[in-house]
Amino acid sequence: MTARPFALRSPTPMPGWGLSFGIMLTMLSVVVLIPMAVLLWRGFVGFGAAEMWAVINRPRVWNALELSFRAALIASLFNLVFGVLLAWVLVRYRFPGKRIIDAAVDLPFALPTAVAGIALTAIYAPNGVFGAPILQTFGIRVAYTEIGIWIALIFVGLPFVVRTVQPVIEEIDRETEEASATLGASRLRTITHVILPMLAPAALTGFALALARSVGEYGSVIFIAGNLPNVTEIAPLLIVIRLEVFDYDGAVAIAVAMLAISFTLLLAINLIQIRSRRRMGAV
Amino acid sequence: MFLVREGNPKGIEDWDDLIAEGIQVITPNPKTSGGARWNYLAAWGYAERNGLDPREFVGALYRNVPVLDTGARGSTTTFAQRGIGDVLLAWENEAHLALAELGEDQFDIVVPSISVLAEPPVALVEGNLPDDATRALATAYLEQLYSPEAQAMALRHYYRAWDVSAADPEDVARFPDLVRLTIEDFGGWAEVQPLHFGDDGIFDQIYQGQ
Repeated sequence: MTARPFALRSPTPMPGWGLSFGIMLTMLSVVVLIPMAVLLWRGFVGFGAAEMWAVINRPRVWNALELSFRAALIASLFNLVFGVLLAWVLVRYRFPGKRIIDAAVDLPFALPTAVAGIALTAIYAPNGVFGAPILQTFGIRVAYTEIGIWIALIFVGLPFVVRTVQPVIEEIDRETEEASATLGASRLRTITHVILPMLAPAALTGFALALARSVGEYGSVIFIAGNLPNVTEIAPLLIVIRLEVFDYDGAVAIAVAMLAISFTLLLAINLIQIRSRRRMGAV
Repeated sequence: MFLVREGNPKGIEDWDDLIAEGIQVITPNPKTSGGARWNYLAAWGYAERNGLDPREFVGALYRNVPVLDTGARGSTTTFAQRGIGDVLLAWENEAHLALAELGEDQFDIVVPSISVLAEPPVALVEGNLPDDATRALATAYLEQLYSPEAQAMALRHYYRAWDVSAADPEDVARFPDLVRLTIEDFGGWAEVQPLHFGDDGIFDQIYQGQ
């Protein structure tokens, strides 16, 4: 296992480094890196940075980008809180139907998002089961407003936080909580100073996944959003609109803008995560 | 065609009723829907022929649109199933389909003074024909489309077909006579597409003014 045809030296004594690294790089290139590189190439070389900026720097595009990222942030924050709570209930309590609820959490992954969008619109439309009472009681319209977009994004992002936090809660020793209690900490203090810090890295990972997923979501949102320019028009719809009129360069420009903002956000979340892991003394 | 709620409570009779205050019009986004482009052009044509500023007229119309679906069927769903809007701008066959599928007691069809004639082309694409067998099949299909039987079938499904020789006279009688503009009245697609629906075209300007 010593002679290698390429210059990468095995950084670990574990066998199989060259092979697994090669497979990883090939797969990642074919599925992710090359398509992304083509997108950037087409944008910066084929179309030009100044031309792309001219496409992006318009009120309607800014409004759509702002809406997409704002709605994704709101939905992911909701999922962060609600997902941790749901994971906690699923791990710590026993109740009838627990297995069914546990399985139902994954449904947003399985369902085609267009189906989800149509179902949510039917329920939250002004004449829907939830939409009608909400409109009558609070005077709030859900479907065909930004609130409808939040609901659709909460739906598609729900499993991420639950599924990342669940195994961590399972790993927590009850003794840690008991130790906290015997040392005189109140229940609230145990939660804020013992439990939540342990969950934070996993919860942040789930949050980042949910955010990334909802920023690009198209299928479910277009049915419930109303799609009015400057009001409820999401950035992915602008891309589809460009494609529909064969303006591939314009579509690439908006895609590159979304990619850049998403990458910055995910990088920031990763940095926060590294800090919170260091605080925990974990790897 | 206009599809309105049963009994036409808002009294919508023609295009100029659509720009009135408080009327909600359901039509898809012309950027993503072919049918929506025809709706837009019909409104434009109405304004031109009635001494109105077409830009202002179409702008006022779209300011009354609360939901821009991406396709014509989506708009039909929004209007018929979700109960949004006072009037749906629909293909004639879609309007009849909505009546047949969702209940004649729920909607009425209003025939405006001006409409458009959309004639989707059908063609053999030489480059996509791999062999003679496929060519024979495709040619047979193309010829069958314009046979009296197939045309009668189209008429039965609320399409205005040309050949009425084999059709049920009742199917033919369902179509009211009205002024129908063609794309040539607007200068052809090569001119219409970039002028109205292109980047920063007239449709985009409607929403930039807000």
